[in-house]
Amino acid sequence: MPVVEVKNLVKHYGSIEAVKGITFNINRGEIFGLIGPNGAGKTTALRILSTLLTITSGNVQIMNHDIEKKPNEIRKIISYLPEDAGAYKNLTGRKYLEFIANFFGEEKVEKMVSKGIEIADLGDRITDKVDTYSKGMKRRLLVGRALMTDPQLAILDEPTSGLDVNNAQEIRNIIKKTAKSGTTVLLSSHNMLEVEYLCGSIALIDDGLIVEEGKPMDLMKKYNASNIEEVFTKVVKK
Amino acid sequence: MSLSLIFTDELKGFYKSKVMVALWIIFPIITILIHYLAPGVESETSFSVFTSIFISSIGGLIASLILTVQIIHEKDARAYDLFLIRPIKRWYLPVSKFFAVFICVTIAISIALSVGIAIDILQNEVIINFVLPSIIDSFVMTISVIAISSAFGVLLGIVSPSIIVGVLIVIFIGQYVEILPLIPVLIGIRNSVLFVTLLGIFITILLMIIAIIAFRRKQF
Repeated sequence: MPVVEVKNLVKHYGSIEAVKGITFNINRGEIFGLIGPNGAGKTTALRILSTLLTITSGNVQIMNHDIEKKPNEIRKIISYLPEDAGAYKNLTGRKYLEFIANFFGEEKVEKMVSKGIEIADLGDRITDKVDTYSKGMKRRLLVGRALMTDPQLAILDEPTSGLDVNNAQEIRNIIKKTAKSGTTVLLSSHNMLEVEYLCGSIALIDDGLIVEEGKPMDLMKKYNASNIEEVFTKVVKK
Repeated sequence: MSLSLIFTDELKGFYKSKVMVALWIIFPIITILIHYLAPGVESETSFSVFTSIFISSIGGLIASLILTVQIIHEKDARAYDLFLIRPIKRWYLPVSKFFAVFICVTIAISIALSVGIAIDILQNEVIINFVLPSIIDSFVMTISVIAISSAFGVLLGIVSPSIIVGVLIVIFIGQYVEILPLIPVLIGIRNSVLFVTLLGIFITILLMIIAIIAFRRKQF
């Protein structure tokens, strides 16, 4: 039984069709990558799955919960890392994690915060104000926030966006480790090499449509390509 | 639990903000300045009543502006994602913001009003029992204005497409909205304070209901 089932998902913003009828499934413990260029519809799809946007038509089920009928049930089991999310600048890293953990009940705060601190791996800086953090440190804190709750589905929009090589690599390792522990991960990226490294399955999205889907290795074989970037170029040119 | 968490967070955010810190200090200073720069006001009404009316007109505008600008800024920065993906009720956010600003601005005005009363008592030897009813009346009117202004700020912050549009609406339309509860006073209705209070509560609740509906329907 898939954790995520998306069928003919359509999203319009007024007269603009951002998503034009996409279908995909994600299995438990899988890292699934939604990849494509800017404006392809990746973020819209992820924001719908995160219950932030309503759907125009189609159907989305997460852990057998219909996204239109039971959004609150879905909110209990997912976590979402927006591409451009800002943490609270006036709080320390630790206070920020505590603030978020409090939403899940006082009895879980200590455990969650410990896990968030471990994932963020900011050392002594965790007690400094977020305002003093570098971009990479803020992103690591936000990844810690997103994953400390042990979500059944983690939705990560461009998780390494704007990070240097070292920070990006650390976050990729955290994502892999999280998936190994049983969390299903749906991530978007326009960095196709990153997706190739991380994901068990991918869907290539362009202009609101999924133009190809499968395991990275299978797609590379199918298109006789040496990497996913090449696959994408070939698929889009078809 | 979530409502108290969000409200506490909003309250902490507002009372520690630079704008609010400035108001804690500026309102009492304005009160003292009015006393020295416009000493004739006491002849027609008590100084504290004059101060209350004067400060409330500024306070209402500031409450609307703070809320409008902050909500639009937070919308643009996608700050609400964090809350909206949690199983919390959406109305918690606008209601928390409303009460946080309403309480902070009311306290700032109360401090200024206390300074006005102190000046009345110390400088003009006004018998407090004599002016107390009018002080209470003007304070009630002030509270009504601040409540409506705060609710208007929340609504505008939610529906306005940009900060500049929001600020312009606050400046040019907000001043008319915030004096709505004062209509009973302006047309000379007896027991006008009661009507001011009722009208203030009614308009505030109405604006907040519209704001909550708009927030629930908003696509983030």
